[in-house]
Amino acid sequence: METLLKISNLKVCFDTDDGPAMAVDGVDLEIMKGTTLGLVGESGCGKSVTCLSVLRLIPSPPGRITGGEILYKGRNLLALPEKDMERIRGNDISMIFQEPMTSLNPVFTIGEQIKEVIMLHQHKTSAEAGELAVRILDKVGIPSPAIRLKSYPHQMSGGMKQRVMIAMALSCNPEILIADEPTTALDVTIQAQILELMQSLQDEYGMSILLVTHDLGVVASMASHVAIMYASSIVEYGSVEDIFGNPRHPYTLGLFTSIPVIGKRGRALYVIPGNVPDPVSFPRGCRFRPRCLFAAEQCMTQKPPLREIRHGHRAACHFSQTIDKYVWKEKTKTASFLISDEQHG
Amino acid sequence: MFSFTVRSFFQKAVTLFFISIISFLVVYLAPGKPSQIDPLNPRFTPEDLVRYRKEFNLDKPLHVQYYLYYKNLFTGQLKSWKDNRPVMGKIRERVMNSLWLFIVGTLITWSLSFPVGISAALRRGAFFDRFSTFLAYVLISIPGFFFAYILIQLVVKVFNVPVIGMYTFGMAQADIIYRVMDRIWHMVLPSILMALGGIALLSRYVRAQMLEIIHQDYIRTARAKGLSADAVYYKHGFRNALLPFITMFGLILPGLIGGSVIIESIFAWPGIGRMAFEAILARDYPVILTINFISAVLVLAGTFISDLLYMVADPRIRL
Repeated sequence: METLLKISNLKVCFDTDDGPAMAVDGVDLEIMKGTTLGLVGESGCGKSVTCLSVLRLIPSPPGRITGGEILYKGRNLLALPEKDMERIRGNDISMIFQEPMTSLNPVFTIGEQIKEVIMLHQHKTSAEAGELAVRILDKVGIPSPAIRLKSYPHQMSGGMKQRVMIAMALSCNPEILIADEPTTALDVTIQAQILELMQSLQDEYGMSILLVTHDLGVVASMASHVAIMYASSIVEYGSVEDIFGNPRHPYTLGLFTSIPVIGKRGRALYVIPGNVPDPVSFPRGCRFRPRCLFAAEQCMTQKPPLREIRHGHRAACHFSQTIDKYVWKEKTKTASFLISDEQHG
Repeated sequence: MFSFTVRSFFQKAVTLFFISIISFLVVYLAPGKPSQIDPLNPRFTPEDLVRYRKEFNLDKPLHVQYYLYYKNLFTGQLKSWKDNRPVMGKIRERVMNSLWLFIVGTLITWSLSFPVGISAALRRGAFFDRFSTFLAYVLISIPGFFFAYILIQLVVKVFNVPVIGMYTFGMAQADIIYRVMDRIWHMVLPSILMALGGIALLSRYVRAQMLEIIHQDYIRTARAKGLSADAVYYKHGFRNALLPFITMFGLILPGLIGGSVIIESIFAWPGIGRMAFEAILARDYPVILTINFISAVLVLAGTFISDLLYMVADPRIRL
């Protein structure tokens, strides 16, 4: 499969009052053409910053991209002049955000906002852009799109606004859609609708999606590849089958174990012990070490690199060759944690 | 929208009625009486006093005086107690003088504050931002009259340009170009002085507002669409940043009367602010009350206009 976007060793630093915070520290990611990559991690682990870096939208100051490269069709986006970057934003790579409520400009109609991006990148007249906008609004399931074009954002519900955001993002047929927790702010039924919509639009247009979420269920149903992010780095990367069927990083294993399972009511839910480390002062060595059940001497001193276990399946753990779900189950039993028998078997 | 306009208009009319009563009472509650002017004047006999009181309706009950006063105001028969000239005529003449200062001052204020404030916000922490912040605080801190004194010294001594009054005495026969230039020269200092304080304050507000706006999610969306930074800030940002200033824009109207008292006094500018001040000293009730009434009308008209502007500018308020 053709690699469309390749992020290597991306480093983003935010200057805070407490010192520089490495929000993204050596992230490697690949997005294949026409597929969905799920980027999973806890709040504050650097998912959104990674996404914003791809479009170079990191608020600066305080943010700075301090290293790495982002190759899109052979061009390093981080080295492009701002003018060329503007031609890529919204045209080749678009983005939708977590908060549909505040992501649309309250003083312009949605028609004006969609037409704006079409006129900008496709050099259409206002009337042509209007027709295109109606068509794309129809596509994302907005009823009576021609009338809705004249609506203002405050006249629409959250789900509708996210549909408008998707319409706006897709209006120039981008190669990549970055969706930064697109359903987090929406209620569950609307979430399912929006995800379904994204899936069907992907089938139709063949774009790649970088889907950021902290919902493993969403990833399982949407993504073909998954990257698990922890403390500003990728800890495990692989196909959905690899990650869900054969997780090799203690953090990934912990994540799966902490999913509540229907039918297991009444038993204590597994919790990864400890807290997410502060990006201003990460622990030395492996960043998951203070919370890890397998932590050893080696983990104190050396940060494990993201290494290939099998073809296309990578994990950043010194012991990922030996740790798997069976070892994990043994360990968590002896560590007196509960784990379901049939989970992810 | 139409019903809102009508309702708002009606509310403002009711408010104006109450203002008229209160301002009438306040003037009469103030210590001293108009008929007590100059008790040491030997030609002012007790008979005169009774005659004056009768002449100016001061012997009638307060509500009758109120009625007579507003009846005269609206029929245009109200006369100044000082020189017996119709009040409206006097005020019109003075307002026209103040209007020039007001328009020029306001134009300078609003047309400079926005570029300064926005540039400072977009270059936050850079030299321009720090410099404009420093300058703004200097201008806010220095009292207007003191600053006026420095500027007068400077302009008169360095440029040899007369600055007091509206025009140079004895220029009436001069060529039209010279007269126009003379008027402009006289207007420069007072209007700049009027504008400076306003610029200092307003540009700070604009900066704060713009700083808040550029961190909004929809600004990021606009950037993600591929719009250039300028297009984002000046199209998507500016329109939103403008909203709070509509309220302020409505409130500048009453500044026509109240905002210029000090400047007009310093520059001997025959404007409405100075007239109000002189009328208070002279206890010229009809003039005080009329100016009061006009300011009330201006305040209400200003808020009415800003309500209407809001409906145009902010779709969320449209009714």
